[in-house]
Amino acid sequence: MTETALNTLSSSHLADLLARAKLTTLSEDEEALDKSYLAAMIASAMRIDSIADDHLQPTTHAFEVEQRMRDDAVTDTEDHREIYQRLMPTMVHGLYTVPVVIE
Amino acid sequence: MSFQTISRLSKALREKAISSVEVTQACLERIEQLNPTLNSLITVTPDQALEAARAADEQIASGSAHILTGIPIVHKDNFCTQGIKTTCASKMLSNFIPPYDATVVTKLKAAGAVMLGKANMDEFAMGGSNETSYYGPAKNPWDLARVPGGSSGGSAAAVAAGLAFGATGTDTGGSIRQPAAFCNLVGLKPTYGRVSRYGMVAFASSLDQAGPIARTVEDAAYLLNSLAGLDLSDSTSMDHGIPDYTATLNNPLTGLTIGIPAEFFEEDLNTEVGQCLEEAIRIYQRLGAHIKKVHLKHTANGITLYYLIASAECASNLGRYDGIRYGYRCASPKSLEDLYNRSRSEGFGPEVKRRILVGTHILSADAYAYYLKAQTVRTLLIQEFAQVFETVDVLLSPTTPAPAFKLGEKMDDPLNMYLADIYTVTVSLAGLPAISLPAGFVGGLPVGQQLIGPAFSEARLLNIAHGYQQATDWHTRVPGVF
Repeated sequence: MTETALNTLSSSHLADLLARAKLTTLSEDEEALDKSYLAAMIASAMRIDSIADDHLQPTTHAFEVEQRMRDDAVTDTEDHREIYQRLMPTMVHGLYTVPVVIE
Repeated sequence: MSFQTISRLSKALREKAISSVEVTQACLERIEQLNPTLNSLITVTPDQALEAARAADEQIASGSAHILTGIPIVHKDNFCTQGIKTTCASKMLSNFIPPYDATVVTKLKAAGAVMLGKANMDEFAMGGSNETSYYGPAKNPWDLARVPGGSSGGSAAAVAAGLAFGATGTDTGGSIRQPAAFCNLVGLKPTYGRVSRYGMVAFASSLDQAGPIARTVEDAAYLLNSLAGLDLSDSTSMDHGIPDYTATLNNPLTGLTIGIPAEFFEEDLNTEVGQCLEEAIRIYQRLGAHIKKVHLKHTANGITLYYLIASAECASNLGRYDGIRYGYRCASPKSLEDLYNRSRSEGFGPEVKRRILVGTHILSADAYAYYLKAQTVRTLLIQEFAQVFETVDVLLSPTTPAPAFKLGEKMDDPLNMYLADIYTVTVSLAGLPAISLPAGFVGGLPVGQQLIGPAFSEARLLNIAHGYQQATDWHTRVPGVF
């Protein structure tokens, strides 16, 4: 398990997380609290890493359950490109064109 | 009348001693008088309530009434209500009017319950004090300077103050049980999958579960009778027989073995709360139960596991709030990216953003192994509970380490705030049912005890808790100022 640069949480790492979470920058107070909070959570995650788990499987559901909606199996996705493209009123170079909503 | 139990009020309604319209009107007047102080309700729906009350009176007159017909209740504001604002106590959903009812709402409506309004809560159910609400914190009726707990704090405050006779809540890591404990009420978190999540705004989908908050165990049983059951609209709803939860309430407790998990009674526990639990143990012994000390050593990691797993699911679930389809949208976006970023940053509060950041991190490629490790240790925890339930019928613990804390006391220290959930999160991680019920008072503040059972043992938990309430009167006490 890699520990990367997570022992210390830099401002650039926080900025990267914010960008991935689609959030803008935080206030100074929020940033200070969030950096210490994130660092503490990461430290907690590292602590449980040392627990012997006897090669158990990660929990996917608290109980044995069946998927009612579909088989619980990975399947290939069919290529629906042609079907979807036929539904579009206008296209340019194989791409949908949509109305401009933000000027 | 404001502090009647559902069972007594229902009897009065069926005997025509009072009408549902009269009861509902009295509740609405009480809400108008007290809600500005308590802030327990975000939305009040007087017109719909009175219309439902009139329909309930007609049903009662026709002789086809359900036990809940005409009973005024409130729904936590994360249950979708058709045509009625459902905010999740967030700026993000402050303008959201769902086009459909949650299954929980549909079922209680079908039983004839009268919805008075939507209860305050922590934003997106993330919090244990109700202080993360965009609409300001609800107050604890037992001490207005203290929190009512969370996240279902508004539901608990409304019932404790006599604004409603019961409420719905949701519990992801203790959000029904902890507010029930802080407000001297009964709160039941059913087995995961026992009550439908359809129409319940998602926070952490592998943990979220709906349940009742009420004044007595008997009332909670009546509410669960209506709430429980398979719902094909929820893919994780469980197809498991539904007993009449009131039928076994009076079964004797002789022969019962109650496990006392040693790890729940260590240094984190307030001494006086511990004394209340010791007294509860003596009462169960008098009722015929055997007491057995047990160990749940992996519960020490419960808080860490919970906040890693729940935050990961939170980051995933809350990805849908993008300012495009519904919810808050920032003003004058400069680009699509700007619209996403500013809508989310302005629409979510600090605690929600904090959890999204942790979740985003734990689901990232360089930290995903930690997420898998947390889920693996969760498997250990589930196995540990299963082993313990081979030797005992139920477990007894405090619901919280201490009574309700003061408003603002823990807001600058979220990790300290999370410790209030230390006895409840492990139960949620294992998907088990648990009930919190009053166990006494410390310094004038209510103390809760928690009974935990194996999956689908709600009837047994309600039976044991009801037995305790027949031998004690903590649950009959109401806040002095009201």
